[in-house]
Amino acid sequence: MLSCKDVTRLVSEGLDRDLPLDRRLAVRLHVLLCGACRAYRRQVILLNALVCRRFSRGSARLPGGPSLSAEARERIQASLKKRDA
Amino acid sequence: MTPVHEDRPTPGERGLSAPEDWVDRYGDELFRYAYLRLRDPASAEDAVQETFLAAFRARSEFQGRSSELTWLVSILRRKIVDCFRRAAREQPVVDIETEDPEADGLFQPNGWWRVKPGPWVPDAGALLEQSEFWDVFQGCFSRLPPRLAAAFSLRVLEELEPQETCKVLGVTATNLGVMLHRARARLRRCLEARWFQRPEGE
Ligand SMILES: [Zn+2]
Repeated sequence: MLSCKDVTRLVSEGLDRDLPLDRRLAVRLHVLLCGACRAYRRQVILLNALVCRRFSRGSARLPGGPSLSAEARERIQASLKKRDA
Repeated sequence: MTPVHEDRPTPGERGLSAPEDWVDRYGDELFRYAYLRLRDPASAEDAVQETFLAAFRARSEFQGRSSELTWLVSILRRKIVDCFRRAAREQPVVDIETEDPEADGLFQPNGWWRVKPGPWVPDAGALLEQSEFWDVFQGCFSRLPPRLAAAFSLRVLEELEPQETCKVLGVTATNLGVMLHRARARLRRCLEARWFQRPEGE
């Protein structure tokens, strides 16, 4: 049987590639019997889904947060002008 | 192909706004995008500057099929990947340590839990809209060691394929797997401590 430590590693791997069938079944059996790993798996998968939805490709429109400093703004503006000329 | 209508901007410069307006219009959004992923203001500013300059050079290629912001973000994303690639070349990962002191504290020597995951709130779906949650998330993300954060940025935030992520970071697939696992485990644990287990009424 897989240890809990093994299961946490496989939960992460499962987010990056399809696990072989025997691994998948071993994880499924383990979480059936182990409440802690069941919670861990649910939480990591939930976090992954939340992060994917929040930051999905090209979604730059995040309200608030830090903005460009005045110095950086000026520097970038100047570098663009130089090209413009 | 969709037919071209008269009122659509024609491909080329006419579809773009004046470059001198770009910084005011898009600077902050691009900066936030870069800062979140690179976690360093100076690197994020550089990436934004490189993006505007690259966009200026390529302005004749703007097709008007996507919005200006989308186009600029697509350029910025390449600059962010370049930035991680440069950092990885400057400080290559020699070998990932097999022991992770942080994770080792969570498990007993036989691999069973010592510190079990706690229960999380049931209405987790609502978190997506809660800006306080994302502030905490960003705080936790900023505490990740640089390499773990780079792996997480590229693979999860930028949605690069694992293979591509390995190439950019110069690590093996096994190493990347370990890095992502540690990043996810630490984020989970940090969010549990700072968000999900806050005392009532906080
Ligand atoms: Zn377990």
